[in-house]
Amino acid sequence: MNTFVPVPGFDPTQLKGTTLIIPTVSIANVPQLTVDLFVSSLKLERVGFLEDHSVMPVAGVFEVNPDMGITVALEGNSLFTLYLPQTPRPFADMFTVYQTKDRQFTFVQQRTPIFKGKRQVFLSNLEAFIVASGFAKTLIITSTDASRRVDVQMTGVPFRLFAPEDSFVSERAAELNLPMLELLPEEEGDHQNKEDSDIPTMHGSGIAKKLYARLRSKHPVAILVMFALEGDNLQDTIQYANCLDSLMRIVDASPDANFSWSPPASWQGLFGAPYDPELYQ
Amino acid sequence: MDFSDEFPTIPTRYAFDEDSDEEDLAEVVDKLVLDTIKVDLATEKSMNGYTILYGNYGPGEVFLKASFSTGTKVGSIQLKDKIIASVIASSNNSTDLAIISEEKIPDELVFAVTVALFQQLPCTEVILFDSYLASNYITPNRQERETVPIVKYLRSSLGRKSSQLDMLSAPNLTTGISAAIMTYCELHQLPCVALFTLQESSLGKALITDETTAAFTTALEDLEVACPSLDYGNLRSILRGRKFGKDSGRIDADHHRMYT
Repeated sequence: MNTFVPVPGFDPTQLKGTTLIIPTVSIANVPQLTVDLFVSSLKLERVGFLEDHSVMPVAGVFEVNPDMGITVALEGNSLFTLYLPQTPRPFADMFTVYQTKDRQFTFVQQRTPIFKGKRQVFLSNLEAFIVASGFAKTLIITSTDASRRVDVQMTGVPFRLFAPEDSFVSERAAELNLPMLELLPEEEGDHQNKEDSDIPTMHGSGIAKKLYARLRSKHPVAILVMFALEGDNLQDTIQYANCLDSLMRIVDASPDANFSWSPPASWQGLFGAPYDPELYQ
Repeated sequence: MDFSDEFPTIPTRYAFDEDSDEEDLAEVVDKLVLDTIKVDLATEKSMNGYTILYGNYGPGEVFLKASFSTGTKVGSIQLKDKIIASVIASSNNSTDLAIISEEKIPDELVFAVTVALFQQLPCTEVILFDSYLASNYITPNRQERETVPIVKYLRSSLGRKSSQLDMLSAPNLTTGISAAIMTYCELHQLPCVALFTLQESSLGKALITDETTAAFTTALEDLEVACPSLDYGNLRSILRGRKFGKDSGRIDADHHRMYT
């Protein structure tokens, strides 16, 4: 079931033909932090929500403009120029949809995990949303447990791509020397189904593999993976945002452009922020 | 320390891995939920156009019990034939309906309860009464000093604005039934305001006082929300009744102790 709920004034047909970037709830939450970084830096405007009861509910103030409501678990975003009137949306929740200014990219932000036993329902709803909205292509951004790397993965960039050879990212990935994710021998405890045995296992990546398996036969899809560990992930997030931007050319700023990542204010409370010197006075 | 306790939670890195067993649970869970939640209204009077005042389990529920003590019970919300909330109509024929939680609703059922509630009680506005724990509140300003009454709030896009109250600032979030109701109101264009009173706790149990509960009254005045007058005598009586038992915060016989 397509669970997309547009904000007032937004036409859902504007999602058609755009590139969808969707994070999974995965280890260190780096993909979700990356989407928040894009939302904050590019001033993406929220264009809708995914009303999915498979994820845990959450509500908090909408950081972009606290006077305009709350944030929720599933959101979608688009970037509009600053002089366009913003639809007053004071409230954010679990799943929101955003879009970029040039309408080329649509971001989904998921803030909470999926209830136990609801994963298949969630995947079905997500698949229905992606197919019904008519996205041109989908890039799943996820992270996997860095402690499960093999020798060949220990050096070089901590990023991997998984996509068909003729995918929409293959050419650009080759230009960037972005390696493909290695398909390793099955390990003890891995739950391998026959249908997706050709997709590498990505420990701690959440629904990335399942979502890819569902979409690949009906929709252009690829996975961008980062090796990550729980801890201070701020630098990991910036690194991931740079990699994603290089791959998909979202910001596409010239070297001389005065662009820098602008994290949301709530990141002050993240692990790794500087300590308050007054504590020791 | 009781070494027979299992590890309380699995390490985070494994929590995101797939579990093949859960793939068969989704349909079963959904069917169970649909069959077990019932909103029972014992009145033939039309419930359209009402303002719903929802008291979440804790200070919110205590406040509404004390405010609607002279009201009439017109229904209940049942989960597996167990009453989890009572529906009380005001005695002065106003269009307010108080929904008073009798116990905490499990997270996996909050959406189902929310949908069932709004399907049976189409309303024009929702006011939520909830709380936030002082120990859980994150603020970048270590010098922040709370002034009485300590109430924070969130509002949906159509909800009332307050000129006096502070918002529940980022990155603090609310969860559970409050979040489910706020989400529903936002997505379905319903005016909604959630009030959060500061709550101290002991051993994980809320220590509800008349001061923190009465803070709701000040917030309602600021928002210009009409509500039956708070009966302070009744409030203290309700709070005295919570001094023992599961809501007391006291160490009970089953609580694991470090020392005998």
